Amino acid sequence: MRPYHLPGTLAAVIVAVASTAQALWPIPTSYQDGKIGVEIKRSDFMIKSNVTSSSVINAAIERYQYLIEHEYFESPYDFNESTLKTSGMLYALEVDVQSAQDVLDLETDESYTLDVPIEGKAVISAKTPFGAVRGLESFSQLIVSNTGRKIIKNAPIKIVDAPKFPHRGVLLDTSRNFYHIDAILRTLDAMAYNKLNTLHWYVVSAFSWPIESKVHPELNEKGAYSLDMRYSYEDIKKVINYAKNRAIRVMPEFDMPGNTFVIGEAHPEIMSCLNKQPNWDKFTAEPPSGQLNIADPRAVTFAFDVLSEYSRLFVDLGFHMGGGSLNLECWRSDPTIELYVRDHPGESVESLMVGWYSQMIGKISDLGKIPLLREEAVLNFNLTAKNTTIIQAWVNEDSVGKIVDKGYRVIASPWNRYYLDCGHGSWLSNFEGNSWCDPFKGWQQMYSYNPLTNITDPEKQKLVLGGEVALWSAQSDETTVDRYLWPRASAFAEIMWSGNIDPITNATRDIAKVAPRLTDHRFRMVARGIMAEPIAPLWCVRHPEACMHAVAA
Amino acid sequence: MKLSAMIGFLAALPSALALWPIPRTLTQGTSNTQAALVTISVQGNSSPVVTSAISRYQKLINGESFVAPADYKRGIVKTAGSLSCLTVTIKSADETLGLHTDESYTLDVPVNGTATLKAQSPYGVVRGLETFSQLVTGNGYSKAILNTPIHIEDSPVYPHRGLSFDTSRNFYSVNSILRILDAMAYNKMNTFHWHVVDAHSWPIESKSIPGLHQKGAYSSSMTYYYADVKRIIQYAKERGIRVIPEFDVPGHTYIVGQTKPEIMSCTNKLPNWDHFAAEPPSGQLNIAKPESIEFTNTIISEYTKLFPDNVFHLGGDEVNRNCWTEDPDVQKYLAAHPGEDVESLLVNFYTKVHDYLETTGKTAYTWEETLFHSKYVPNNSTILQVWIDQASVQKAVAQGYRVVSSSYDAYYLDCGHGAWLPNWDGNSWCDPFKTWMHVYNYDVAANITDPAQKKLILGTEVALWSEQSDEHVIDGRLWPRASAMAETAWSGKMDASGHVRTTGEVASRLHEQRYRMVGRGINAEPMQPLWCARNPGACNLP
Repeated sequence: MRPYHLPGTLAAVIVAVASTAQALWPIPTSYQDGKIGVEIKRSDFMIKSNVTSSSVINAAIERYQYLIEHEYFESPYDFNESTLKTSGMLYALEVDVQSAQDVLDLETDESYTLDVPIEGKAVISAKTPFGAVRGLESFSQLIVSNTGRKIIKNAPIKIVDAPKFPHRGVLLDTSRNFYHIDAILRTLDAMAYNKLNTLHWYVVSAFSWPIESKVHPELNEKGAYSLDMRYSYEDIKKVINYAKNRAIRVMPEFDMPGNTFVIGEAHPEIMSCLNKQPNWDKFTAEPPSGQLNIADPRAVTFAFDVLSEYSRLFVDLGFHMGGGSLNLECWRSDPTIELYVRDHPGESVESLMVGWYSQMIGKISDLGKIPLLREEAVLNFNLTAKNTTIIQAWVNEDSVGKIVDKGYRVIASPWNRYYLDCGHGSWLSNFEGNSWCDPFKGWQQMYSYNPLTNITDPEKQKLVLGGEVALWSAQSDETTVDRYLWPRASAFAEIMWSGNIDPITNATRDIAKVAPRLTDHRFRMVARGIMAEPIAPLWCVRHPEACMHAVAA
Repeated sequence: MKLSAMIGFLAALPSALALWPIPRTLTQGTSNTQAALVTISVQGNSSPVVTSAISRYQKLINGESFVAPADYKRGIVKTAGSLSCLTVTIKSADETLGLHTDESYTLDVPVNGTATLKAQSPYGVVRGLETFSQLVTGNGYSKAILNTPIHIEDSPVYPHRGLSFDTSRNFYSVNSILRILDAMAYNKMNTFHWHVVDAHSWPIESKSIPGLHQKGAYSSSMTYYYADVKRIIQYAKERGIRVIPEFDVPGHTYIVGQTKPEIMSCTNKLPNWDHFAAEPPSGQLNIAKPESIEFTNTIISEYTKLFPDNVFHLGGDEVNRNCWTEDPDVQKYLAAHPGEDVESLLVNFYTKVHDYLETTGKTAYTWEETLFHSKYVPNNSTILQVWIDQASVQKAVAQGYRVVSSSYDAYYLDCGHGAWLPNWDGNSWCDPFKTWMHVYNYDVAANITDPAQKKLILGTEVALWSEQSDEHVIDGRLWPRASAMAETAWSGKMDASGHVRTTGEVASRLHEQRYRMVGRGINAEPMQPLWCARNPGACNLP
């Protein structure tokens, strides 16, 4: 064995340019490495934990044991690499966890440390099973294949890591088009490869009601696209459990009172402006039109039923009640609402709507959940919600600041950065224009956005819980989901996990420097069965300095 | 069958008989015919292409049980007769595949008895079988053909209905190319324009200059060997698809410099590559050196033998003058040869290589710049591929050239996906994204009225440049947008009554084709929410 420098004596090296093998994604908070290659013992490499009673840890160990045994990943940069010298052997990975408690929420501690020595046993230390999950992912990304062996380059390695934001999510719309469970599980796998921790499941909207309802079975019977395009209770539980094992929360959204045409398939009596044709555009942002009749007490009762039923099925503390893209004309033109407003002086469509949200927030709080809403309710309609309410900003980047100024916690999803469906053209068959949110948002757009922009007060910064990239599915389904999400959601994931400032150099992370590491990660995802997009010709991947924009550089 | 019950044309019909591309003429009845298991057999002449097409479609038809999304509530239809045989006849067993190949066919499906498919050539059989396969629909546990009796007479409007496909910027496995050829056949496309090499890699085996692929392929496993190429050509032929290779010279050739640095100009200039090339890495053949012509002719000699098609594409796009005017070797040459300049050198280069191509008996195919952006005058048998300007088609036919259009503004399928240079968060150069509606509405013959000039329009090609694509994402990039072009190239823009088809009218049929392709293993993109596919017209802009 050759002498080596102890980690403590090494200058910290951050893998900003991935010429080395340690192309971890997202990049750890702190990372030190050495110069020795170590080999992973092939036949009986063991992952073991001090905690044996945690189903999350047991599942994670089984999963990464299998992955590490079966993965043969070679970085695209190392295509003609010869046999690398190794001088040590790693025969085990120990996972030390302080507590087996496995509550997954905004307070969950996902931090971990990882030590890879040049001989013997690597160690992950974490406070929770979920920190262990993150550490295992990092460990798996350290391993590369080299002339038939599996090795870790540049040991000894010491990683100290924790996320910048507690809410790092993907919004997936399963209503406009359907995704089979397998595609959702595959998406959860990919999220775990990127240390993302929240699946915001936009489960229903105007187009279909793909989820089983035991309280109102007619919703699903009349509203699912077909019998095999629906999620049963068992399916949902399977998704939630699969996600939990990957340290991912599943937060459902039941968008009401807008985007609810499909409810009218079963309950036309509680709807306003149901499927107005051909001039749907007066009543809705996209066809088919239809909103719950907010002046009708039966609509409130119905909405309460939905909240009650699904707040039990989905165990997560957060419950999203939607509230985007409401159309006031839909209600103004409804004769029953006209009548109601006339008979109730002082009331208006706006006041009815504020009343609606107040009731919904009250109900969901009574059910023990944290309400989430889109920004319009508090920014456009003067709703004063409980300050535990979390607001999702999407209309523009400034909304984030406006929401924290009002004292609410916020999740950033500005469409001009984070909407993954944009730039794919109009989808109305007789109109050949662009998408409303053109152009396409490249990975560079995701990477160069920081939700904390212009928020300087540390107390207000704390209110920014994180962000969500969003995939609205008018032009997507399970056949296209991988490439719509990846690697763009990966670019987002790094800013969410690692922050946009490199803590060592204090410099803003630079799109020019991360492309090789992102590409490396893209190829790793492809090898793991996620059909992520290429971001450049392979030649550019191998010659990163040669494919820069000359003027921008 | 009552004549009065027959409907003259399909355009106005809902999804019943939603063939894609739509046949020239189609008459249909009001009965339905059970078609649980169909045996296809040939009567009289046959050929290997016919035999392989029959066995392919036999398997496809009997394995497939497709119901269009708009028919999800149809239930089981009553059948008035049944059909268990399709008889195929051809006039000629000639398997020559080229611009003059006859792809026409006539298909008759009676209410009861035996269906017949008649074609002039084996390739007409290939097209007719595809149509027949699209007629068969699932019917409960059985299958049926709706609206019988059916009589179809069909032939393409344009003889060149292509896909231009770049395998250099990123690599595509042979299997993924074969899958593309399958999908092309589902859309009656007939030309695979293989942009096989470019600046970034040389993925094809060269026997005359082995260094080209040894040093220029991304890896030995990312190389098309002769056997691979022959397999692709054969697979394409069985589907009535020509394979036209492109070896792009003198630009887009950085990778040649890995083997022959001595014949290159402006190789990989950094950081200001943009002064020398449309995209990195820069590098063009040095046209002041006779060795560049020698090299090109060696390439022509080798690959005209490997690719049997009688058309050969020599590129000629995006040639950058600075690359040469600032090359010391070129400068030295010009100083020693008064009267010459970069333009005359380029004319000399094109003359020598095009003349050489002619000696191999092939027809030259070239990007429009060869004519419009240089002083070289290609010989009038040359086929021009236009891409830059909507007016280029008119200009080309006005000068008597045959033309294929790949107008970037309508047909570049890679556009609208953002910049791919990592340090820049701008848009793609050819934003926005080209939707299927945009592809469908393009008219290659716009503003051309002279029938003689119209005849010079050979057809169209959608193009997929692969900076941001590889085999993992290819299906959705191509389909169903390439299907939109395929219909306008096969069926033309107008129906028999002269009505120009609109995207609002054809959407439902294209939905059906998209879902059919997905069922056949092609991951084509959804165009809309399924709700819209099921409710034709409900998602139109008022």
